[in-house]
Amino acid sequence: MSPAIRRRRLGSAAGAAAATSMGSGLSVRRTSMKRARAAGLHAEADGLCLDDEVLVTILSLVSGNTADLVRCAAACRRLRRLVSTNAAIICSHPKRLIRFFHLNDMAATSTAAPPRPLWLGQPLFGGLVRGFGHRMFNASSRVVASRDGLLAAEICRRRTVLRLCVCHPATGEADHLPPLRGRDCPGPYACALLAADDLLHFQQDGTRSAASYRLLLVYSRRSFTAARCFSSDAGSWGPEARVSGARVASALLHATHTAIVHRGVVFWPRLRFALLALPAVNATVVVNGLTTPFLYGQDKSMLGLMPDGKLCWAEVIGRDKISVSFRSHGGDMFCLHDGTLNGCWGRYWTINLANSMPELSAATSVTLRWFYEKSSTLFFTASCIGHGDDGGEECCYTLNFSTHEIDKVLRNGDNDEPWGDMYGYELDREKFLGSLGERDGGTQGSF
Amino acid sequence: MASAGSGDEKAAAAAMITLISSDNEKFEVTEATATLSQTIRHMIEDGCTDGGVPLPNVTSKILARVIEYCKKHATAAAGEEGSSSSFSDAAFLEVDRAFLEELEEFDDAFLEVDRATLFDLILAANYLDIKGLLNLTCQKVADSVKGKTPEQIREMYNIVNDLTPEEEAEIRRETQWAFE
Repeated sequence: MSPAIRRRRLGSAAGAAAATSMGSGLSVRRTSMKRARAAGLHAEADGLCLDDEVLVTILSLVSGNTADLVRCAAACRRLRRLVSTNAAIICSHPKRLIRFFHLNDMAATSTAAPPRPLWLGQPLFGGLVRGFGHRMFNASSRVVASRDGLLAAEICRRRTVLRLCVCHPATGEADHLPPLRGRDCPGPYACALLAADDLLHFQQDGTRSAASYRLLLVYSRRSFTAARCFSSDAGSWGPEARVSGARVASALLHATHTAIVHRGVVFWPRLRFALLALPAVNATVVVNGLTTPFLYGQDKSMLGLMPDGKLCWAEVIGRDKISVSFRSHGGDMFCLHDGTLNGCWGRYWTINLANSMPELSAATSVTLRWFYEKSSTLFFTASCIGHGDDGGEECCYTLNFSTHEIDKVLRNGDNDEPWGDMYGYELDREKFLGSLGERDGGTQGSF
Repeated sequence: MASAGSGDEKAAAAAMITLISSDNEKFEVTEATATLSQTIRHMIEDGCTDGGVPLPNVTSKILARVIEYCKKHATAAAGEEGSSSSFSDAAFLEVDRAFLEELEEFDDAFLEVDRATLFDLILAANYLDIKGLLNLTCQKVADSVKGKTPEQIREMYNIVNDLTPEEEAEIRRETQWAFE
């Protein structure tokens, strides 16, 4: 049960009642493009003599390869329905799909160019873009955070209004958060999305469900650093909280920063700043922060989390080696403020990229981009001399920490522009297959 | 056959089951062979196999193939049980391996059939609830769609494309990566 969310679906009045601290009219607007479940809306006439049960058995034997499954789903209505409604049975091996969101860079936004593809691993987002893309993802939108199948985007940024949207690309649902206007509108900010699992580590007021999330903003005020949190359960922003014990250098906030959420700590490595608590939704409080002297996560290195919660540190050594070290057990983010990798880091290995992927022997610049913590995969780009027609093309690769395998990621389309900032996005395979089903509103989006 | 059930023949005959195909052909099989089918096993347990087991969904042509499979695999099962108790480990492993190889070859040859027969075998295996055969035949279909385009899949299995052009375009657009 998630009363808060149901309330919001029913209409804005009840949601607004929860948003007392922000005044009325600031409720969450949710747009949805849910697909029809169970039997399809259209008659199925595929001429296949096998029954559903047998087909599901066959599909579950295909399931090793997600692309094969997708192509089966594209063969006829019944197969599409079976793939999308039996995802749990078909995927006997839970696997995560990883996607990349290519951020619109600021230069492009000012020219009001048509929206560029936000992802590389391809358009789960397609549904969103077609549905209400012209409204939500125009040239001045950008992804600001992603976590556990959720994605936060900033829409039509203005100097005095900040509109944010949290979407579930797998289901096509999007929550349009109440805009922050005027005095409430922050300047440059850093952002973090916290999913239901993360919230277990924080002291929280109020209800929580498996679909709960919090969107956390950190920004500078004239004399202090401030934090503010949106709660999906309350359906509203909490009041601005003052961060004590730490300050963010406002100059750093202009760039995009990804956060690591780990055992009750939200850490922005490149800001050298961590929050040790979430600002409450209904009371003005001071939250504790932490500053570390050590600069984590420059281009040549990256802090990440393993699926078991262990911290790991990846670093580019020389031209074509990546070394990885892990935090020994028991160490959590609180240890990081001593700023050294000595002592607490262990189990260190180095991988020679050229050995696994010969073309990387000509790599000129290896850049670590994103760490996928659920699938322990590091995403990096490299420019290789003499690769591609024009030479020096930047290619994308993934390094799997469990298998030490390197895979090349193919870019879709003929977009040859260099990569700007990137956001990774991990999605449960089950949810993805479930999203292939027939749409309620026919094939055209209703927006 | 017809005299099954009379006097001292009963013990030997009790191990035989008569299966009747949809076109009324009768097949005499051992109980060990027949009970690879869970459906028939339950019928035997319920004592409703007297006078033969009618299988209205299975033609004689397909039933013959199914029985061929069951005979081979029933022997395999019996062989395994027998060997595990009477051979030393090394000998057992040797026999086991040779046997498994033979079985694999049999399975491969068994699957050399056209699409219609394969589907009929799947339907029969599903109806008779023969796990091994169902898995074998479904795996064959699953393997055959690997790396194929939706068009090829349709062509291979005579699937009528009942998606509207818009729906099809939508799937392709949203999952373009699967088509590259």
